[in-house]
Amino acid sequence: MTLDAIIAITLLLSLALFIGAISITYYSPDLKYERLYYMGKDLLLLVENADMDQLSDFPVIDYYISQGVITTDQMENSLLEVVGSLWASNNATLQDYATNITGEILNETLPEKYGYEVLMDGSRIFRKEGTGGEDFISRFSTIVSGFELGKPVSGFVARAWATKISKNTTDVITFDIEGAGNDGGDLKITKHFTLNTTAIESATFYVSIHYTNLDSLQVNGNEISGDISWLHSDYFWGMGTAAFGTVDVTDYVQNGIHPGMRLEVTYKTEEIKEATETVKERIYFDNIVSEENGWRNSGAWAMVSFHIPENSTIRNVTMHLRGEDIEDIAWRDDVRIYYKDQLYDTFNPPPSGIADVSYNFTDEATEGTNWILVQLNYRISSSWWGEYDDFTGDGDTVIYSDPINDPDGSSYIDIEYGMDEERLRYGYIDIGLSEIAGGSPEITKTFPVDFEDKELIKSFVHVAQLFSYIVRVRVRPQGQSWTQIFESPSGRVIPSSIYVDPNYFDISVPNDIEVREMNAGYNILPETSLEYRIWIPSSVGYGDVNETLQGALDDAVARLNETLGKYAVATTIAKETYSVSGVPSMWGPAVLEVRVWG
Amino acid sequence: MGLSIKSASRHRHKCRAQQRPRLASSRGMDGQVYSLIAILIAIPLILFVTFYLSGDQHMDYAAIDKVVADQMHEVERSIEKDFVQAMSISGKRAFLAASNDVIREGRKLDDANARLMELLTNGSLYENYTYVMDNNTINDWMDKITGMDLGFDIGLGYSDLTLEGHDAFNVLLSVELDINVTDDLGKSRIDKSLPKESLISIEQVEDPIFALNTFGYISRPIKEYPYPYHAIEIVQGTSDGNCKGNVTFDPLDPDPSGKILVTEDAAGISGFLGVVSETSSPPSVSCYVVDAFDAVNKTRDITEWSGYPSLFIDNETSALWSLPVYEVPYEGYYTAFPSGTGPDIFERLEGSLTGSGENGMETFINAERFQSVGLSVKTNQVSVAYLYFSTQSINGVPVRGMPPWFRIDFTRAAKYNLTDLMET
Repeated sequence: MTLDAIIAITLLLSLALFIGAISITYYSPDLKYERLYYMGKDLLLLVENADMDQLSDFPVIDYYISQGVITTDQMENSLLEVVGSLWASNNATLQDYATNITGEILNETLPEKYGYEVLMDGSRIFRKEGTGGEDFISRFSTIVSGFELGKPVSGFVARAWATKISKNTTDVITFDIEGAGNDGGDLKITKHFTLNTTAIESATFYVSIHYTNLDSLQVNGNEISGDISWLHSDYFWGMGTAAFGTVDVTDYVQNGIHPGMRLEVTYKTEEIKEATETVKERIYFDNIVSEENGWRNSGAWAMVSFHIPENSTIRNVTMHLRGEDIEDIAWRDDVRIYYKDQLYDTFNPPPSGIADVSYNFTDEATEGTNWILVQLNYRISSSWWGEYDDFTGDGDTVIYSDPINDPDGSSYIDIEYGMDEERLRYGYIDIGLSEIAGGSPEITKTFPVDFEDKELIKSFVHVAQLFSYIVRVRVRPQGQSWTQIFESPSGRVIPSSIYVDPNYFDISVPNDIEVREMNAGYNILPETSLEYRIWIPSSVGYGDVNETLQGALDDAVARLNETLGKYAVATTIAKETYSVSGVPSMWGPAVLEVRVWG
Repeated sequence: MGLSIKSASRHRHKCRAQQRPRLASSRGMDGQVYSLIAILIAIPLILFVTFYLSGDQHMDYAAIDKVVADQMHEVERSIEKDFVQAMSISGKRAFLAASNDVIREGRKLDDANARLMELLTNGSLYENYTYVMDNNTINDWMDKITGMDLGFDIGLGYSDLTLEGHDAFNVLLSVELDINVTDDLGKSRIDKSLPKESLISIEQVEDPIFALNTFGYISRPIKEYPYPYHAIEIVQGTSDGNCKGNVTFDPLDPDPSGKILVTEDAAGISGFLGVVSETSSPPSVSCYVVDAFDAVNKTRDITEWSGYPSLFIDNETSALWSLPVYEVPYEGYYTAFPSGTGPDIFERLEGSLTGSGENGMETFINAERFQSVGLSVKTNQVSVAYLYFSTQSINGVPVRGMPPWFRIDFTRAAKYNLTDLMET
């Protein structure tokens, strides 16, 4: 071998080593990883930044737009947002769409030999096998808030409120004590009342009267006297019967009386109460016709009670009275008008026998229970044996009232007062309820009532008695002391409705109500009751984000019904729901990861 | 033929051996040349291999560092980008939560901006938990990000969070974001403090002043008025009657009874609610404008421009009008005037009816809706909502072409171009 050959061989070996070294260093794992890394980065940046508008030339995008999978609203959304929302749906079909979109777009960007995989929070959206093996895998990821498997990326929230409420509510239509006394002839009383109702659920008439012969008792022309279930009665020789009973008059209610006579009606209503600072109310007298019967003279009397809430500004209390057929008996002052316990006016009727007079009691009116007592041809006289009813009417004696046909000519009381603003409740509806005392007749009746922490609007005690003299009402939140609410200033002055201001109660605890007859011979009946009104929240706010509008609305209505609870069923809320679309949530953040190998 | 490969090879060697004596005469010279050539080839080769191998080692280290640095940068970029997304989500929800609370409780916000900040950061309102913001505050986002394993240590903070009106229908949420990304070894670190902004649309947010002034009965979401004008007189001519209906340019329209035909010549035309024509020939309908120059082209241009198809023939002005403002009370549209009248969203959340903000907006009440839920209507009060709800008496007059209960005063009518239609 010559030196030339050695040199030549050396040169060839060097060349071979050089080429070999280059080949070895070209396949450096770090450099290979770097290359794969940047491929992954490119893929991810494409997913993050390309929007549907830019990708709309891809057949798969065009197809899914035509199929409604991708909506026109999403055309400015990135590929990530579209694919992410399909993935987050956790619906297999939608996730297949995500796979198809991802694959068809990203396959165009990498050479065939490379494999790659796109994952959201570790769950695979798309994978493509390459031909170059999996010796090296590069990973590239980014975070994206608002995406989480099974959570709607954006959707609807809804709230609901009740403006028209179909509610079960109880109203008590009271009959204040009135009549012709036990010396009069026949007595006819007509009472008009109006209920704003769509359906009567139940109506119970509590009858508390003192009579000799009960000829007729009608509700809307239906005779009910034979249907009365008499619960308590007492007969006094020569003075007739005092009796208390109930009768179901549900079918009859279409849309000389002792304490406790009332009609309790539970009904459905869609009435909308407009909360207002000024309350105006007209209370009509019942139409009372007392007839002379042989030697028995006639005479009519009636007490009308009303209440004014505490902290109100009393603006007007006026009475219009029309009495007819009033006899002018010398030295008698046959018309007598009381305001509460004060004899306010007395006079003799004009020759016509008609007393058509008006009074302004604004200055006399007080917060709480007020009442006006009118006596025509009647007063309580006294003799050596005691007090007695003294009637002097010849023929009929009438307290005239016909609210339907002659509202302004009728006898009535107009009340107007300004309410304390705090008593108006925004976002609430009021529900009327009634609690019966129960138990047995007793001189002092105490019964509990629990308002279940619902805010109280107003309450009335309705005292039921066969005979009455002087009644006292007290209330006591459990664990506290008694507060006296009312005591009759004199005998027989017992309003059927005694107003109890909510401030006397503590709604967070059960409260006791005590009704006591001060005459030991008379009892308080178990049918004595507390009528009250409470506020119920009538709206619910935004709930969970829902994928569909209907889902959000259904959720809102369900929550509203739950809020109204046992007290009311909202029926007209279709137009009282409001939904917001496209509400995002801060789900996640999800990690979008791209893996590349090859 | 028949020569084997082995013998052929021998034959070639033999031939070469036979040629050598001819070259031997210049052998010394040739050897030097070959050696020189070999050296010249070998030196750069050796140098190249040496440098290449050495450079390759450096390149390997550089690639790793480069990838790691890029990963850090991408993590930082990813957080930055996601923060804007979080601002957008949190901001949108904060307005929903605020309006939700005001409307549900009937309680005005004492300081809307401060309360919105409280919602954005703590998710509470007056320190009370709000469901809408649950897990959707900026602080929630920060906690989540710092709790994630992103391969690096992440530090986050923010300052100078502000919320201000951008225009009537958008608010701008701005913040100074501080990001710190450090690798495990502490060799590399990114520290950044940069301003971030997110524009938050208040469209769809319920206007609190409606609920606050209607005991919660009336909901009025904010929607931007979509038409290019409120009222425009298209053409004038000779007229009779008042009527309102959708436009048609087809004299043979199969359903003419509720439409206003705009045509060149109205002679003999009947069956339409109204007719507008360029010639003076009166149509056989009771409501028309004739002798209206270029009525067809002008009407077509206006209706195509606005996309509002309804027209109003007003006998008082002897003109054909386009009144998309009619839709304001029914669709609940809001208009932002350059003068900025009406309260902005912050003032509305505070129940303010004064309208001092430059990003104010206006809308009209819908008296029919009020009555349908049992609310009384202030008969002569102007129908611009924030003035209608005012305790002050601000009387207006009816406007032809608008709902019969609608009232507006001269100041406001001029803004809506309704002055000529006022019933004075």
